[in-house]
Amino acid sequence: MVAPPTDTLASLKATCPRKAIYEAVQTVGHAVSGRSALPILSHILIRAEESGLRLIATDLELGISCYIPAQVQESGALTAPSRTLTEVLGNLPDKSDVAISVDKSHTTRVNCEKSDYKILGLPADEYPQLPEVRDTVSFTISQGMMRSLIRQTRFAVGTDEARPILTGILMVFDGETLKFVATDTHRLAVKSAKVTRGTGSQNAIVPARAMNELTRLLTGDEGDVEVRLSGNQVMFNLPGENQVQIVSRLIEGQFPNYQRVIPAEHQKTLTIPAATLQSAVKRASIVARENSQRVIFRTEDTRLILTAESQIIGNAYEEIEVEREGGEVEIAFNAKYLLDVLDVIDCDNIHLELSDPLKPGVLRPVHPAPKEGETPDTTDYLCVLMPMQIH
Amino acid sequence: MAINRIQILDDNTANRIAAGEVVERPASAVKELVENAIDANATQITVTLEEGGKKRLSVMDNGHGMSRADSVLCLQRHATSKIKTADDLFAIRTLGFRGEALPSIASVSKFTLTSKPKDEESGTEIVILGGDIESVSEVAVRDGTTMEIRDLFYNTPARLKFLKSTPSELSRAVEAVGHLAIANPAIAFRVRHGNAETFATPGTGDHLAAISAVWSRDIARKLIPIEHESGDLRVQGFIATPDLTRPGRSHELFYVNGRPIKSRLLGHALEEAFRSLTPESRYPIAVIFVDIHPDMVDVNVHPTKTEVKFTRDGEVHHAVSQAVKSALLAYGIVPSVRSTILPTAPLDTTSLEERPPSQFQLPMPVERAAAAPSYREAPSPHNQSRHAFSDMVDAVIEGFSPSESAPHPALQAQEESAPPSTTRDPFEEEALEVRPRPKPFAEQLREFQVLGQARNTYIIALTPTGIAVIDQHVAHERVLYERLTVKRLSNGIPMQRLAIPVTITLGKREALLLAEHLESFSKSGWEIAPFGGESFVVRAIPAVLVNKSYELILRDMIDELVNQSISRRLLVLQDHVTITNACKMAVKAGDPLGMEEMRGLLEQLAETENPYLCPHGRPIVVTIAFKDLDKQFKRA
Ligand SMILES: Nc1ncnc2c1ncn2[C@@H]1O[C@H](COP(=O)(O)OP(=O)(O)OP(=O)(O)O)[C@@H](O)[C@H]1O
Ligand SMILES: [Mg+2]
Repeated sequence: MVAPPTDTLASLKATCPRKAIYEAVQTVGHAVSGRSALPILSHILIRAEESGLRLIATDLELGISCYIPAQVQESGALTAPSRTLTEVLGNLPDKSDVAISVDKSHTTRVNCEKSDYKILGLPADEYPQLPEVRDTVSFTISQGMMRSLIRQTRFAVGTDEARPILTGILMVFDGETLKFVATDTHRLAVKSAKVTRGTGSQNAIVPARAMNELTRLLTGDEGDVEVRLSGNQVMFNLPGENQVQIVSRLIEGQFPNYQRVIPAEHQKTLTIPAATLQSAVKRASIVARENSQRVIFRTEDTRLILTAESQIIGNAYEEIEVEREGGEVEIAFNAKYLLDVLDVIDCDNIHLELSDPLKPGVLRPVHPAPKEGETPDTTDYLCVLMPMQIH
Repeated sequence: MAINRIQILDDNTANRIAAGEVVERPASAVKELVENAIDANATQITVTLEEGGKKRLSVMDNGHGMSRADSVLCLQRHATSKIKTADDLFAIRTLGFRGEALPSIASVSKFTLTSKPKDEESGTEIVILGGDIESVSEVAVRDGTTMEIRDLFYNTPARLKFLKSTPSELSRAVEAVGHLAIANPAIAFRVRHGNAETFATPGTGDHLAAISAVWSRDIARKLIPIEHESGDLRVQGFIATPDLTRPGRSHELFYVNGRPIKSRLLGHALEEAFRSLTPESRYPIAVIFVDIHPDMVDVNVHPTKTEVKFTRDGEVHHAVSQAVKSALLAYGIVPSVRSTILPTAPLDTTSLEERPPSQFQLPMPVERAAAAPSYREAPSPHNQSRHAFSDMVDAVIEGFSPSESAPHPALQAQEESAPPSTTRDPFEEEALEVRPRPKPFAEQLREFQVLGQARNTYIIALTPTGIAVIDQHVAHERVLYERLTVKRLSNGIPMQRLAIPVTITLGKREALLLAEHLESFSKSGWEIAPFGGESFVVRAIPAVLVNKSYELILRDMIDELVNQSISRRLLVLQDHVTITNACKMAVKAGDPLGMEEMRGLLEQLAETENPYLCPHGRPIVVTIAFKDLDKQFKRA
């Protein structure tokens, strides 16, 4: 029986399994800002809901909320410093229940077996609200698909604070297909996938951090993620009983016209075994990293020769059997950029499409032709790599 | 009876003397007259100028003077007391040798010569107008010689026309005397313009005192001595620490056997040693004396005697370069700690105790110079008091402000610790320390044990003999700079093309400058092309910048270009671009570093060619010797 709230926010009393609340605190804790001028932003808000608790954390850019079932004796809300709360909960006995409550002076009491902690908090009504995302545009997509969309693009996100637009992933939704685009101006990754269902269409630039939190929390295989977009916010509703929500501010501004970066045509195509290439580049980069990661690609008939040299270390030479269409190839790439994409490309063979040494190269996965009766693979992935040159 | 010294050279000898115009302007006239006074063993020389020397200039000396016969004879062409035969041309120990100067000056001016040798009762005065003797009379004057020139070029309007404004002629004339005064510190020079004194040297024999008087005390304070000797070739003098530079070559002085000369060879040796220490559009300050056997140098190559030919160019180049480099090395090891508690000390002080103390009481390596042969007849500039340097130090100390950056380390040591007699001169130690091992500092760097980071700015390390403080930014800057230069020299700079070219729009001035320097940028790994108007498109960047805010870096570099160009000698800024690249890429003060990163940085630093100074000329490492700490804590 839930006692009527005397003062909605200045009271709360609930009991729940330690494990559940500890995991929830960890889930939302990533949104707590490391260093903020506002002390309350280093806190987590815990609010009583119908037969459970909702934990919320935000740094005003990113917000995460998470629900856990609990026995609520008294409704209300409290805040407690995220670090202390996480540490205390993390070190309480494993299979115990935790009673959590707050008093008028905003002191949170954490009670568990013979442990009793009083943690100083702040008034819960001062905690910022998560923004509402009025869903003019929304869609759902499978968890697994969302994970590969992020995984195959996020490595290409820029880190230059001077170009904030590129520090996010461009999300292009046209009603049926969802496309993720990321570039740091040296390479560009584009991945698209069909959504389960959706309405409207919109482009939005989502900060890389929100995408990282999203994949971190997308742990299951069952169920779809729901994405809602409004003018300057995006909300992800994750499947599962924890009803995890991630809300993030969008990056405002015009994403560069990425389609112009993708070469419309190419003169040469190499078909290369992905794993062989990956290990060859990895070895060559031991030498290349002392020379700005430069690895030279050269073909001699059906052999692809990779070389790297460094004044300090010496030389690297690698040979790979490939299939080649078009003329002989000579071009230089940044080994790290190659490894980044080879790490995530997930296929046996890749196509490397090239023209001349100063024109971009395009890597694509070679998907096995669909067998009769199977639905063809709908994902589509490419990564444009800008070549290196020598003055 | 007064001695007659002057003879007329035979035709054969006379014909072998480099012919041409001796006197072009007041500055060249005053230079010839002062040289004569120096050759006459004067100890006091007073130069008076009016209207920059155009209206009147006179040089008064207290030298040996001339007999009446010589006074008349000296006005003849090829009349000289300094050489006798053509063979003497290869053993010249005086500044003059042609017997050309006085007749050429006298023929284009209203000239008065007054002279009296010491052992004569009275002197001689001769008045010459346009080369013709007007009068010869007996006068009562003091010992020595005075030459006065009025209305130079009054009878050759074509040459008169080429004279510049008074300030311009004055500055050239003063500069000419200044150069001679610096080489002759034992002579008291006094230069006046109208009623004002332009400069006066004390004549104490101390080079630094002379330099201080001619240039400035600020410059003298920054000078460190240089020295190198190989066979009968000696190089010595001073260079300013690389944080003090000039926009032109006005302060690069070279002397061969005391004669001020212009030399591309020596200039190259000097600038090359400084190259990575100063931005390319700045020039070092240096006073370099080369002493060489007269038969190894030909001074008879140019009518104004300002050029020489060495028989063995390479050796001279090498000697100058070595002298400068080892002084810079020593400077790097004893960078100035501006600290009120701790005196600076060289890193390697281990063996000091074993040495006889007398070695350290010599304030300068000059002492050894006294034993070496000097190829000058007149008192050698190098046979000076061995305490010259410390005397100067004393003189300079008053008014010295400790807040100034990088003061002369010796001054500092002097100021902060014990009385001069017990203070070892760090350069003396270094000179002894450094020579047997060409890269002691790099070796020592390898022995550094990183203790931690202070203020996210300095790396603190333990050394076998003390504690070292390393400026992380400048250390990294040095590492990157050498990497960039090595790449540039070897196989070019790797560049990364951009998927999305950056368009930048600049101000008019920036745009013009960038357009002019596109080639330099391209050599440093930037592919930039004009994009109409004041816009440019960047298509490729140096690959080392891929994870940096390259657009900001580029803008900064362009900004620096704009500010640089205020100095009048903006050359192609290849090196400057490299330095700026390195500087922008380096870790900054305030960046926290892990232990591994710090160790790595020191290892890389030890591998650089010049781990002592950053490309801008700032010191990288400052050390505190335990010995000095012990002293501070009174643990004798
Ligand atoms: N200030 C002086 N004191 C004493 N003797 C002088 C002085 N100036 C000139 N003489 C004498 O006059 C001679 C001629 O001087 P002059 O300058 O014309 O020729 P130089 O010095 O011998 O050679 P150069 O033409 O290379 O200067 C000198 O050799 C010297 O004997
Ligand atoms: Mg002369």
